[in-house]
Amino acid sequence: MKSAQAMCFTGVTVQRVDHGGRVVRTLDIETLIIPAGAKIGIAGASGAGKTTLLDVASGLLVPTDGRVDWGDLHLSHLSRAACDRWRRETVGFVFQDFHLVPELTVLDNILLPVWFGAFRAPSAIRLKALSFIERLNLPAPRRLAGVLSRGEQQRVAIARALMLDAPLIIADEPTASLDAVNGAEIADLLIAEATHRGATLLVATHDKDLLARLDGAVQMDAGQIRSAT
Amino acid sequence: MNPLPILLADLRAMRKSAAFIVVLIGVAVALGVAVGAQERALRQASARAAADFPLLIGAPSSQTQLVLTAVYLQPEALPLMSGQALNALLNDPRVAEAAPLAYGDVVTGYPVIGTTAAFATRWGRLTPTEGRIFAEEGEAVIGADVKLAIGRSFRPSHAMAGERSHPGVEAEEEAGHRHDTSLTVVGRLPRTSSPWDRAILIPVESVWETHGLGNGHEPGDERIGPPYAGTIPGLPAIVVKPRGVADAYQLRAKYRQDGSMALFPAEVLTSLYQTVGDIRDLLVVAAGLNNVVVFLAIMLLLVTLAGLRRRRYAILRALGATRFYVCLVVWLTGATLVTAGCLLGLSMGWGAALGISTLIEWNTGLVLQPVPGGDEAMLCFAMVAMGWFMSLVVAIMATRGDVVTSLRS
Repeated sequence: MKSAQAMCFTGVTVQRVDHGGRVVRTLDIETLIIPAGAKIGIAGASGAGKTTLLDVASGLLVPTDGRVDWGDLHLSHLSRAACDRWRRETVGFVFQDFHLVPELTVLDNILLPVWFGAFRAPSAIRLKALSFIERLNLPAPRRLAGVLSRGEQQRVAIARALMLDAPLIIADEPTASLDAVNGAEIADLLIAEATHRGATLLVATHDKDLLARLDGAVQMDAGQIRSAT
Repeated sequence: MNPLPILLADLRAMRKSAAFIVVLIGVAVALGVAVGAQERALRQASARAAADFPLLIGAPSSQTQLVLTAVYLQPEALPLMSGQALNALLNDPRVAEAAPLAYGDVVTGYPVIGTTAAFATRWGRLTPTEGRIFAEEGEAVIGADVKLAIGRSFRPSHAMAGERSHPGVEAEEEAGHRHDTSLTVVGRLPRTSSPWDRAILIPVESVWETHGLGNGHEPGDERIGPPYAGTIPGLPAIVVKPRGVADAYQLRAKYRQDGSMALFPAEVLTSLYQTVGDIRDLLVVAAGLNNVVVFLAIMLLLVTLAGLRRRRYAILRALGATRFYVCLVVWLTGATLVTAGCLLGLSMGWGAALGISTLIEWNTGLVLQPVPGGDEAMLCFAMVAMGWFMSLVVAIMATRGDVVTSLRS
């Protein structure tokens, strides 16, 4: 099993050109170190740079400047293909809007990342997916994802993120689309699973209850870190 | 990697657009396939039907009309040529076989044709499936599709030129023009897949006698078939089987003068095929342009559909799919639709050709067997190849954008 590594952001900046043609700096981090296996919340108003930070952390976005390290690996120096492979093996994504494939069954949605690398899911992997379904109290494996309730969909999305034993779980507002009860359940699940497997958990969220239960929080504003606890 | 689950999910998600695309391509391809298959089938069937008529001799008039009436039994009045030519031909060393063809009578919509017993068997090629060939006046042998029983007697009527008769249906006109002569069916010929399957063949002597022209033999001579003697009545056509190629050309030259006209039906058909072929070419070019327009429209549609799914593809990328994987999914979607459309077009085109052939058979008795051939297969292959290439362009376009931008769109 891949183990979590410390993640280091050094002099990372992201710039983009806005509609008026001006260069805007959406992320500007001098130093940020996330210890291996830490569960860190990223807070801040909309547009503060939370999502941009997650995109850089997942390797989806190459920073304009600076470097990102995952243990000994210089993420920002990886080729596109190598970065894709690293992401598939390392990162489990949980989105605010779940982003399941509605036409696929619960089981197939959980197995989705497997198909990016293999033609058939080995029976051991299928058994693992089925055990997730049981353990996370998910709906029947043959049900179509499109007909599930929002809470159920997010639980399936978490199972999908955990399927390949990702040592880095990145969740972008995982509870924002859910009611309080479902939100609390999802928060429980994310924290429990990250703790259970020693994975690093990065959560961008407005949810104060969730933030309070994490190991630490990074407060962001205008692309910069205001405080880190 | 396995793009199939996402491919199937994508197809399911856009099933209405997908069905529309498949049908649109199908109709576009079907047109080209139908035109090609139909034209070839018509050429093959008409050539097959004309094979028993190497050289036709008739009175000077339209060459095409002589072929259409003599070979394909189109009911038109042909001018008569002198009957003496028949004996001259029968005695000509360059002629292997010659037989008179006398048209003009009809029984319940079936044309009655006077000829020799030898031609009735196509000079030995055909053997009756039931009964025998006529052996004397008053007997008739019928084509495979004539719905008359062996032993049945009938009285032929004088047919009206240009009247389109329906086989098996007695027109009102028939009753008013019925002759006194009675004929009896003595045999049935095997199928020739030509209009002759609906014809009733009788000794030419019966035709002459019916019309009060004698029987082409000396008075008191009641046998049928050549040689003929005395005053041989005029004939609309004589079918001749020359001994060799040189003989055929010499005979044609000889009978192209002095009140007669000689032609090779194959030659007339060739010029007809040229016209039909020109029309076919025109239709194929039109269908080709039509296909290009349809394919461009489909490509735009695929680009739009891929654009609408940009976010889904970006999510796949975020979840770890490579750009190649997403590219493969988009390409497979387009390629699957185009291939399905072309296969549908091939079968629809074939179906249309079969439908049109049934209509032609019903109207003329000419049996067409349209089968998509090499040209149609090439057309489909070209369409599939073009579709695959265009899908590749769409796939590359769809996966070129920035993942983060698509993800947050």
